[in-house]
Amino acid sequence: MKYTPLVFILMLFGWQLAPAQEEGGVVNLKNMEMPTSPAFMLLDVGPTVVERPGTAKAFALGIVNSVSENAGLPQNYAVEFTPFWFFRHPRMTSLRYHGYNTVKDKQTIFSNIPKGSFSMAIVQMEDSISSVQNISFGFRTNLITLRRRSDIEALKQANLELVNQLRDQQERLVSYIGDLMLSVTNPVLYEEKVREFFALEEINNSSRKNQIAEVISRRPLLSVDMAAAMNGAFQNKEFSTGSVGRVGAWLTAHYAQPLRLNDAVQENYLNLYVLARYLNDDSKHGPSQDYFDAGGKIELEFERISFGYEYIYRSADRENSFRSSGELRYRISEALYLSGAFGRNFGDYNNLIALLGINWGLNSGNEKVAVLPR
Amino acid sequence: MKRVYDTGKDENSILLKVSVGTVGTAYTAVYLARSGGQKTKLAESNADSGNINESKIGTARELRNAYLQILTFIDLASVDEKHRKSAIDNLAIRYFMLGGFSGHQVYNHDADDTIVMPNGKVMVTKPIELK
Repeated sequence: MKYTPLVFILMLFGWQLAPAQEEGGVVNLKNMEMPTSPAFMLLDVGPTVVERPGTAKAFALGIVNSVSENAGLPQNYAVEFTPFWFFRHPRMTSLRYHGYNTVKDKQTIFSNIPKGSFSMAIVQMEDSISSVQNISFGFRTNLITLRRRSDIEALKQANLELVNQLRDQQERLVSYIGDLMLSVTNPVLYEEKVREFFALEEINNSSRKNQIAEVISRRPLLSVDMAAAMNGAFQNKEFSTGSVGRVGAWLTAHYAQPLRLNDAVQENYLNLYVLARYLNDDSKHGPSQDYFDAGGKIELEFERISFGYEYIYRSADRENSFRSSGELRYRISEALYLSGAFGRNFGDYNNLIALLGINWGLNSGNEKVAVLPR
Repeated sequence: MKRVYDTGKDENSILLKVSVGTVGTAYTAVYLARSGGQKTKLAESNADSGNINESKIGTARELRNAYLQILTFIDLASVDEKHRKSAIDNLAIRYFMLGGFSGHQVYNHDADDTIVMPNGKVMVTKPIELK
C-alpha cells in the first residue's frame, strides 16, 4: 500500500497521544456536526447494536423481541428506521425519487423530507442510590436539496439512456428465450433461462455503469438538513418522576460552488455552511445548560486536501462565547483522513483547539481525535 | 402467477393499463404471445416511468386464445444498496384490464412473477391468459 509507512507512523503517534489525555480532552468530531442519529447523540451513547429494520414487519418484530427478552420495557435498546421504506409508493418513479417531477417539468426541492429517519434509544443508568431510565427520540431529514440545472439535465439524460438500455436488454432477452409461453408452461426453465441471460449480459456489458448514481452523487448546489431530539428521564421506573432531560435541534445549510481548475475532470468546491444549534440540558447528571449556537464555515475543498475556517457564536445562560478555528483535512485514502485544527473554543478557560489525528475506519461518525497538550 | 381475462364478444375493444411504482428506473413492454413462439409487442412504456397509459391492445377476436406477457425490467443500481431489499419488497405493479366480458379487472404482481438478479436488477413477468 502506497501510504503504509505514513499511516503506520501517524497511527503510532495518535495512539501515544490518546492515553495521555483526560476524558475531557478527547473531542468527538461529530459533536460539532449534525448527528446521524440524534436520539443516540442526546444520550451520549454509542450503542453497539442498533436495529435498523428495513421493513415494517422487521420493525415490529424487533420491538416485540426486545420487549419479550426484557420482560417489559427494554433496558438498553436502540433503533433507527426510515418509514419511507416501510410502504409502497404506487406513483413513485426513479426521477421523482431523485427529486425531479416529470409532469411539472421541474425539480422538487423538498422531495427528501418524507425520507427522514427516526431514532429511539432506551438506556438504563444506575448508581448506588437510584436507577434512571432514559428514553430518547430523534428525527433527522433533508429539508431542501437544490441541484444545479446542468445536473438535472444530466439526470434526465442518464435516465433516458438507462431506459433505452433496459429496452434493448429486454428485446435481447425475448429473443434469447424464444418462446415467451415458457413462463406459463415451464416457469422453472423460464427462470433458469432468464438467469442465464443476465449472467451472460453481466460478462458482456460489465463496463456499463449506472449514470444516474454518478449524477446523484454530485454535490447539490444547496442542501438544508435538520435534526431534533429530546429525551425523558424516569427514576426507579416510576412514571411520576418523569422529566424532560435534554432537548436538541440542529439546522445546517450547505452551499457548494464547484470550481473547475484547468479543465480538470475532478470537481473542486467552495463550500459554505451555515449552522444553528440549540441544546437544553436539564438532566440530573450535572448543572442545567441552555445554549444556542449560530455560525458558519467556509471551506475550500480540492481532490485530497481541504482548508476551512469556522466561526460559531454561542448564546448561553451564563455567558456568551464564540468558537473560531481553522481546519485542515488531508485524504490519505477513501476511509482514512488526516485532520488538524487550530483555534479558540467556547468559554474563557481551557479553550485552545489544537487537534491532530486520524479519522479512519468506516466513517461511522465515532472517529475521535486527541487534543494536543498545551 | 397467471391471471385469466375473458374478452367476450368478437368486436369488444380490450384496453390495458400498467402502473409501476418503484424508486428504480423501469421499462415495461406488453407482448402478445401464442404457442409456437409467436410474439408481438403491443405497447411499451416511455422514458418517464415504467407505466403504460390506458390503450387499446386489440379486439376480442384478435386477442382470444393468446397470452399477454407483460415484462417489466427495473434497475435499482442508483438506490443505496441497504435500501434495495425494501425497494423490491415494496414494488407496486398493477395491471388494469377492461373492455371484455370480465369487465374492469385489476391484477397485482405476485411474488412468483419476480426474479431478482444481482447488481440491483429485477424482472417481473405477468402472464394474463385471454379467453
